[in-house]
Amino acid sequence: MNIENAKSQMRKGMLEYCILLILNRAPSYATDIIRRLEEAQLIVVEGTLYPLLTRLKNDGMLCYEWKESLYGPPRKYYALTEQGRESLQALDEAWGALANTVNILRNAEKQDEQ
Amino acid sequence: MKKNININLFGVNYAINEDAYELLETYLNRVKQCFGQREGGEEIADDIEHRVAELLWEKKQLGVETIDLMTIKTILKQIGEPEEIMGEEVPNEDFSANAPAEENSGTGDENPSAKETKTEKEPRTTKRKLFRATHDKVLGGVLSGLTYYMGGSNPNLLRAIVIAIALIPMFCSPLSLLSHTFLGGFSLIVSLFNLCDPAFWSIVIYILCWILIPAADTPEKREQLMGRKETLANTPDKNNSSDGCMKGCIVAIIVVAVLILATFYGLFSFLQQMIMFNHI
Repeated sequence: MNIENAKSQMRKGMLEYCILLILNRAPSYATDIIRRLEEAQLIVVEGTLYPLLTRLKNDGMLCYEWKESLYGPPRKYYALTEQGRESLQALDEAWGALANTVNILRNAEKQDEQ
Repeated sequence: MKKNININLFGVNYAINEDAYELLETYLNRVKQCFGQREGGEEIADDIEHRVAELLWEKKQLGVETIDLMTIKTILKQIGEPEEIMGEEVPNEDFSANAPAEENSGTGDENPSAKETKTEKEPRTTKRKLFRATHDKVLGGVLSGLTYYMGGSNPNLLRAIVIAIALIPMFCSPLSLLSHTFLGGFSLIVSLFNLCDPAFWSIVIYILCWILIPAADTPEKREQLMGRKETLANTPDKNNSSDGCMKGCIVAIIVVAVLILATFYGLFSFLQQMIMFNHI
């Protein structure tokens, strides 16, 4: 098993869910999202986010509006659509189930050690 | 002394060094190329351009007056090479462009330096286009452009051959040599306008090429001419292509063959003139 590969696959799988989570709290523009994802070490290069946002938007999960900025060029503020919120709910449930299973397995392993 | 360029990005002016500008332009063009084929590709390229503008704006606020090469390199590293961005994407059946994602994931994405050395070792080749190599020219860069286009590395060979072939009839044909000796410069000028003289045709063809072939005046065009991509890793001039010697030789042979034919044509015409001269 390639650890790096497995880690990278986990990260990639989480990314869409995390973007939806961030946008569920408040509409944000790309750089805000990048900062939060970087804090969580979820992306390696910033550019990764842009194709993802465009795809989520084309899939109807997100919508955006342009806003002028006092700090540089105009910004695209993304927000969840109704469909995006529904998908987020579905992902929430899936994540809950997944985390639950993983936790049970991890705890079982610890108990075995003891 | 460095040349500065003023650019306008989304309504804000920036002074930028010429080399930094060229790198940025190449990068943005590559982003457009890479994402252009897919749905929403233009939008992605536009988003990335906005991000570049934002980072440049931040530099400007910090008091940076002129954007230099180092700044652009840092910014582009932060955003990532188009290939790097694609490699990080979530695999999706919709895009055929995701194939490299599989390939890259094995090397481990936490280690960007490993990827860089990989791209450095295997420079990706692009489809070649003929340009005049204005960065390595004697007159118009036609012959050096031709040499690089065909994969050669030393334009001097082709230059020597063309000049030699153009001048040969002047020394081969007794009539021409005689007239050159006696009439000096005047006859040389006359000979240059002689339709039967290879020198005349060499000059005409050269000037036509000069006019018709566009100059390789940006790094992007130069990379198309040389047949390799310029990335962050190989921006400093490393113009050593060693594997193109064979192709260069083949071109040289073809050019020589054409010019020898022209020479014979020229000699033949001179002989004709001589015969006519004798008749008179």
